[in-house]
Amino acid sequence: MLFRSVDEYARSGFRPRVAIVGTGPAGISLALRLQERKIPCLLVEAGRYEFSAQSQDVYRGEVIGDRYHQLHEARLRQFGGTSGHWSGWVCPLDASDFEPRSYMPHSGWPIRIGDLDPYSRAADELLQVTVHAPDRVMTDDIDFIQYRFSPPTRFGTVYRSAVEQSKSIGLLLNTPVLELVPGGDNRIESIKVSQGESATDIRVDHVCVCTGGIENSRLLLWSNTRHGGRVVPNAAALGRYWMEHPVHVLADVVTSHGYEMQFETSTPAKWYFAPSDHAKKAYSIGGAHIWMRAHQSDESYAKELWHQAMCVAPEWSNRMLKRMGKEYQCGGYIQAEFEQFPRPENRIELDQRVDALGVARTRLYWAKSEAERRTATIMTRLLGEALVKKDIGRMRMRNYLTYGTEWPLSDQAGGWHHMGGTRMSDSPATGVVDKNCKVFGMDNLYVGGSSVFATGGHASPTYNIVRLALRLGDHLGTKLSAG
Amino acid sequence: MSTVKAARPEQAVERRMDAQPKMGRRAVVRSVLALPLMTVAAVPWVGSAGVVIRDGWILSKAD
Repeated sequence: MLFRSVDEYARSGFRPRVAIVGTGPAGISLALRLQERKIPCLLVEAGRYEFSAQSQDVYRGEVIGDRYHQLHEARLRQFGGTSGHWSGWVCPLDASDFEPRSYMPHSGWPIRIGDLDPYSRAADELLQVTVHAPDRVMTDDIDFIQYRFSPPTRFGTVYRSAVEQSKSIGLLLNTPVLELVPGGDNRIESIKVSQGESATDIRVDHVCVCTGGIENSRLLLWSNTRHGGRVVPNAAALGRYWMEHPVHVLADVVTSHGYEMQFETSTPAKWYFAPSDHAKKAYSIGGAHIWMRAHQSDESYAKELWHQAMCVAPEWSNRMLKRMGKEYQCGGYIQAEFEQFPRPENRIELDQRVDALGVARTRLYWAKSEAERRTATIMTRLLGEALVKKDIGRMRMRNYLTYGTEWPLSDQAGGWHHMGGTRMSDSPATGVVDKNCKVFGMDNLYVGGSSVFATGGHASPTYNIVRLALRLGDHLGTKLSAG
Repeated sequence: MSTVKAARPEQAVERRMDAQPKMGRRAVVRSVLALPLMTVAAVPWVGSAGVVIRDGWILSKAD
């Protein structure tokens, strides 16, 4: 049910029980679940159906610390949210990701994997993934794990019709939420939305903020600033414990098995190396998924030959290549996306500068620590040892790992995965939301999305975002039906 | 602002799509190429009783 304006919505008589701010995978999944539970809801989207550079500009911000992507490129401000440029990687968090780990400060969720498992099938359907196979063991330290792939599902395209035709889901486009407005009794009373030159309030019963892994913190921080801390009364952790999945090339490799470890080419799934639970615990490292790639997969056979030569006879090959004025690297490489330990100093703050709507822009403090270096170094060594033990190939660690020099600037930096900032916890001292994604100290304010992740594991967030959103939908469905 | 070279979000979309692993079209060719080169370079590929690291190379003691 699309409303062309806030006025049209106000005149319609439609009275949603839940206002959902944001229409990415979290917001739309939540709305569809609430529809199943017969709870009317209103989706409020800042952007339109189509991409707009003007809309994206609101996402510009400053990054302090390690090299990182431009913030206005790392997500999409339009209907369907960042699923509009999602790559489709689907993987559940590991069971061990939810548990406290003695070697990882601030680890542990107030829920366990069993709390999300009941939502896996529904998440599969929403994300249009079908296959599944259990992980396999390679050695005590290294597993083969499966990543499945969504087509990928563009929520803005796939679910547009379902939202427009729904009688219990309302939709407002081009309606940026400027701030949450608290009333009395620890409740949000309304949301203030931009109407071009002016602003207006929309009264709400319950609110769920689903604006993404950066914007959730920004909106709550800004609302808290505007209303004397009455939106997030316990704000010690607000904006903090922000995480990414660093992505780096770890080693060069020569192997007799080819470089793409992909054993089931007929299905939309791929296999990756990963440190086992045993290895993570024994060596105090985070999770990861690791893959082999040829340096260039579309090159000529002659170039491939030289890449191989560089692996097994580097001195001779270097001499010959120099005579020809060429430069090649060893045949393949090992790349990984790995877990970042949660730390309060990695955080989102409000900048002095404001966007076109007058809202403070984002300032992101983000840096990797020695814990991530340890994870990268040890898992590389474990994989190298596994290749030797299985006689699959040989690896040479990149110099920055062998000699402890700076992280290379030429790598991808991160997986475009924004996690933390409104993390889930048992305590408001270390978190913003409780196990039901409700903001501590507030009765009707919830958060959806990867900003509630307490730890990030190595799994791409989207699948877990959807499972959490479905679970939140059930929680709200039960709460509001009873009320 | 971050130091990453500016680009339009549509380009970021393309980069992200590129990031998805591709099919192993020439894995067999590479495998065939690798084996004779190993022989040429006289690198023994035998089952490892132990592992050593030399200049970053993670090798079998027998290598």
